[in-house]
Amino acid sequence: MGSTAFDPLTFGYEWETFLTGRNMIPIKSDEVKRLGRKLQAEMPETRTGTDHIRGLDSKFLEIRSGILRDYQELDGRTREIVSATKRVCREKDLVFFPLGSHPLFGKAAGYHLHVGSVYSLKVAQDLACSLTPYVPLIAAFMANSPFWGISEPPGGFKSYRVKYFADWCSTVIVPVERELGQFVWGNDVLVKGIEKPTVEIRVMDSPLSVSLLAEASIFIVALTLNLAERHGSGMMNRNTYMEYVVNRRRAARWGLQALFDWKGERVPASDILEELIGSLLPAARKLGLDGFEILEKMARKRVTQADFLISLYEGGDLHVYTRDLGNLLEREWDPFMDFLEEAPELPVAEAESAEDMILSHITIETPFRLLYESLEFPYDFIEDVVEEFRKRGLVKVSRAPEKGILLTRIR
Amino acid sequence: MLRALGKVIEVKETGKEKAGSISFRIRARVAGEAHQTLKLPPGLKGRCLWVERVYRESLRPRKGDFIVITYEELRGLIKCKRESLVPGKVFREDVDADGFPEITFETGLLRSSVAPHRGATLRSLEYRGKEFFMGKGEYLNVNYIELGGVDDHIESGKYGGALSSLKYEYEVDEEKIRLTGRAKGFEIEKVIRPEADFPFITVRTSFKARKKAELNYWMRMAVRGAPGRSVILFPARDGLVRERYHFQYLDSFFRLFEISRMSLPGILVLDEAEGVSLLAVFSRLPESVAYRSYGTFFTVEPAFERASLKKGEISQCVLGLIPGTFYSASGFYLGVFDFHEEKGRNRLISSLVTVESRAPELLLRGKRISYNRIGGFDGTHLWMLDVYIEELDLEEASLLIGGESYGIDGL
Repeated sequence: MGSTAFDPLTFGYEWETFLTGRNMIPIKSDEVKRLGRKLQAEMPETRTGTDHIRGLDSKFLEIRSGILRDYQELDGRTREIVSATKRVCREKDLVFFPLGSHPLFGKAAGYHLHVGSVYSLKVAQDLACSLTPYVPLIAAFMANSPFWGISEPPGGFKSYRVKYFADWCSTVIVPVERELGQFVWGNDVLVKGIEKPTVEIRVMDSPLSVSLLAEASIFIVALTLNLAERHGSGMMNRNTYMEYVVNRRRAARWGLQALFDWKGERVPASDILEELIGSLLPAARKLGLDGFEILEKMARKRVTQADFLISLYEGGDLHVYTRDLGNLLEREWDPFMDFLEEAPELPVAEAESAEDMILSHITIETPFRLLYESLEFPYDFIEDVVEEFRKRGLVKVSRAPEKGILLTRIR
Repeated sequence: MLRALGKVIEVKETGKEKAGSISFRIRARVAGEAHQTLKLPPGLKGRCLWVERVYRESLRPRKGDFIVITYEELRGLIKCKRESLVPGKVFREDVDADGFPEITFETGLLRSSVAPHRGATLRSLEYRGKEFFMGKGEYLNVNYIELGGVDDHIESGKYGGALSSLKYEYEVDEEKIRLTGRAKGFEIEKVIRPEADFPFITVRTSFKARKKAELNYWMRMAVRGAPGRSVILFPARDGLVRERYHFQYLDSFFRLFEISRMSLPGILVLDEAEGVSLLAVFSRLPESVAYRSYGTFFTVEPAFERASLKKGEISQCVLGLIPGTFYSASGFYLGVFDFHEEKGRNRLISSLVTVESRAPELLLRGKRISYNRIGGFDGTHLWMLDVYIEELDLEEASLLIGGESYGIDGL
């Protein structure tokens, strides 16, 4: 593959953000469209517009950076776009609300980073494969969706968006044989080559911190660049793939407190991040960033933006909290940075086993389909685990011609 | 639940709380509703009130901020005291905390409320302390809030949609509540009549065409569900169809379960853990019944054949709701078997006794039902069956569950 995979090295992002009225309810689609057009017209180098919010009668303001080449351009343009967006919001009595989920509704808002320009789809596919083991780590440090409406307890997961596969817009990567590669929409990492010469990393929650957005983007670009230089096909075996799938779930639950399965060992996600920060510095410097100060602090304290949001929630009414949070985000440029300075160090969490994850999803006559859709573990793995549960008398397995396998937990 | 948007006009710090939080008294002016669906009661906008809150330093409220004010905080400004309309039987009270009074009927066996200001939605049905509808739970979208209950929907020519925003006039007497309203093209009358000595309520809905019209009518029942333990039974032509409610976040968008082969005009909902059931019967066989699952509730939506109405012509549909208890053993369900002792016999409904078994020998501890069919369901008592309940032996049980009219599945 090599660094020549990129001709030239470019990147850019799509940042899904909520625009709400002063009651914190997302505004009508037409209003978002008008605002998106206005912003793009103001900054023609960007491609800002709208995107669909699955299951909600509104749209995201999708801030699209346009093509970027280094950190200075990334940070400068992002700050410019955010300043303009906040100004327009003030004029129209709106709230710019960039979170990975809306506390009142759930609904997944993502941050998608494109790395290119890769004109060979085969090379892009190898890159996507190489990135796969790192996806949970990226999900962990970008966790920013600890609220999910009435459907889930506040703070139960650091990223409900990743738990719910971003409303099926960032799903577990389906592995394919190298010579049989095809376009698959919605994976955590996508070969986007049929429409853009990029690999798209989609697993990240929409960030509220502009500073983190810039630094994390350079980290991911540097990682991609490093992986490209290793000249490997990046193909996975069952073990590395299962590590990815299980770690992904742990990242959603615990963010940077997660304990990962990593090359056969149990390693804290924060340790992996710290180690990578060291190895990616040369590539980052080439991209104009001298150090990963924010990510280093986050790794040391094991805190994420989700922990910041949870720290502000005193319990009680979510609508009250959402409005108060809106006040803070209107007032402060980047309140996560202050939190990061003062936040206490969090402990490494216990690692839930894949078997426990499966068992916890089985109630009465749980359809296999539901179990699969909740976890997206490979069929082969789930079937083996369920068979083991059956033998141990934990689960009753029944067959229904129209519904498939039904699983009932016995004890 | 009603919430208001308030503008902060004064803030007083009242003390330090544990873990760095601060308590405040905040004076705010009511600026509008927090969600467009739940309008403020007249006279509330512009009023001022004090609220007491605890915040982290970073969320410290400031003059000019907007805050969300909860129903509890607004209570002092809302007239929502319980008021008797028919002593001991009919009351006016705000049961769903939306700021407007519902009309509540209480009999010795059940308690039910209807919301005249919100489409005459049957908001609450409580039996032996069990609330069947959503109560104060909330499912939000941008344009609506799901409060639970049974509401009406129509499509007629270019008009249509949910009727839940209509305001109805009402008259109350000891036996019934009569509600009248006007939708475009129709005069609507609803008569709700609870039984005094039986856990049974009927809702008769009539559409009178103001000019020649096509009427597509369906009702939407939003029922509180317990994931894994609520079961919905649909009598279909090819047997009893049984759906178990599971929380499926994405199902409400992608999967719609719909039956267009109903054999009997009704459905039965069971809560296995509590042994409580809700039978819903209709005066007409639905053309289809849809089912969707949501986070804390599910909906059942019977739709009826389109009616072509001349000017002045009336189309009518009657819904009967019978809460009750049921017996179950290892997958066996025995009907809707709550009953009221009257003159030495037990009266019981219905043409929709549902029986299912995969283990008939377990019926030994069940009861026998014998009945006489009196007539079809036309919204009066005539359709009801006289039922006698007594101990049952194995042979009789086999005969019972072998009966053709029960739509037995899985024997």
